[in-house]
Amino acid sequence: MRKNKSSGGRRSVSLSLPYEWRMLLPLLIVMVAILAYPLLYSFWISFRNIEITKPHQNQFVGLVQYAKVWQDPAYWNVLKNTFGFVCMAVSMELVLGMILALCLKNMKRYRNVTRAILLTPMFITPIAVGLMFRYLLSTQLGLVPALLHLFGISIDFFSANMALFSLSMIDVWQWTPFMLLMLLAGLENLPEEPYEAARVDGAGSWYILTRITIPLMSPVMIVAVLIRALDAMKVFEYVYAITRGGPGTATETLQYYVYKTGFGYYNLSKASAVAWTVVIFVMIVLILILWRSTRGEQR
Amino acid sequence: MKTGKSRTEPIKRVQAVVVLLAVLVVLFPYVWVILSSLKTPSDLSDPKAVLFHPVLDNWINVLSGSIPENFANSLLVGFLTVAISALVGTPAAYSISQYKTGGRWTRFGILISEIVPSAVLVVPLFLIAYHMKLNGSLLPVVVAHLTFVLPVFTWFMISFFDGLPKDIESQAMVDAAAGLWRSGKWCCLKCCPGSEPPVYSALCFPGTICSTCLFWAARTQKRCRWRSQATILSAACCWGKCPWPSSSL
Repeated sequence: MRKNKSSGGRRSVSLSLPYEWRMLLPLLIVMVAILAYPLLYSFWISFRNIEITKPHQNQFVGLVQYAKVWQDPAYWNVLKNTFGFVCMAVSMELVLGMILALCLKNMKRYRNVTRAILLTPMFITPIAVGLMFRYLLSTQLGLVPALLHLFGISIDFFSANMALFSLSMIDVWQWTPFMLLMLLAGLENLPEEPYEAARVDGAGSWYILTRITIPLMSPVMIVAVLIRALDAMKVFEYVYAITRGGPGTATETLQYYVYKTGFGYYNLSKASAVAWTVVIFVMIVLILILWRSTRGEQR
Repeated sequence: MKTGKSRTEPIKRVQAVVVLLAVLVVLFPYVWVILSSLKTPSDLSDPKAVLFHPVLDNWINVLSGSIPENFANSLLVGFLTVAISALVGTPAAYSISQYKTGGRWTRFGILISEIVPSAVLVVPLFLIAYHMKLNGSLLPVVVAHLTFVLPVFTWFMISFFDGLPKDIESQAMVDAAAGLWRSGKWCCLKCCPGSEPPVYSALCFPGTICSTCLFWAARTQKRCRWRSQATILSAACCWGKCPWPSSSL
């Protein structure tokens, strides 16, 4: 409804706009309707006390929700979990992705087949991946614990100490291909000359890797890590499908916590406040990184 | 020459082994899931069993249940989302790429939804849908998907248009002797033989994300019609009878 009205109202205006803005206009309208408006709405909600269970309660309470979040030990636990998850998953993905990309770069035989197979995990729905590993790693039904048992190792992958690590390894299984894809694209676009020069000078492979490849690749690596980290912060499906935040609160992540607060305890305002703390944090980090990178460009 | 070759040979062998290992790690869960889907519940309790009497019961259960309907729903949402993204995103991407409309602000502003965690949008979208009495329909799901598919799609298309050679465009302009919009269209048509892959990937990539996101479906619906993606695999793995918590979705 809202969309139709605004586009109808702007029709006469739009004709007077320059051509390139008219092409952009539909996107702007849709983005305002589906992104900007809900974002502001959510910001507004976070300053009120809306709860689904109390339909008549809807007052402006200022920063009370944020204060509640700040004092909530569960929130800090969730932040710690999410941060741990992101660090474990993304660092593993970077290392594995780099190793695989280096191996795949020079591969001639079975090149397309291996690449196709290695990229498949990215295209499965995360919830299905979650379920798959939930049973694969389960102590009763799973093959992995059963195989480990043959070697005399018994691990409960979803115990309080291991669960977060297991979840991040599932993330590694699914998203290393993405890292691989980005790094491979980066590697294949590297200039040849430094390598030739290094080989003429008699540099060893390790030297070439650490002194040429990695420095040249660092912009690609930063972007890849950034994208993956932002994405990993949104982890929800694995938690939802496998542990539901448990055992205890050992694997509660931000997104799951927002879901639990908003749709489990029906406290919509607090859920919005939690979500907005994340937005602010991410914004600060991104602005710092962008500022540094643009400063680097200007030099 | 010979010494160089003998030095690179073992490295290549190590590389091949690493790649092979990675392929095995990737394939292992698939194989296990397929095997499990053919097992009876009693066979399932022995995860190491590779030789067993395969049964198709699970697959029949899945296909005769509500899965085909759920699958159709998923496809519909995916299709609508991608169609709207293509309609709205393509001209905007062309404009941003060729005319630098709005400068850096539009270019990077588009990516803002990638930064914003979907948790922020969940509550307002749910409330909007609730007030408009739309929860329970597909529309909120499509809108929710659009919030991240549309920016990604536009971003893809911007880089695609950036990569188009300029002379093709000017040639098309001469050929078509028409307005810019038509030349834009022409330029896409002319470049098609070489540039289909990016367009396809731009179309497919959001399509796949689209069908993946349970979070949105579960949140904006509050009903279990949207178990589709979740159930396909889980049910195929024969836990159709297990209490997969449908009621809590």
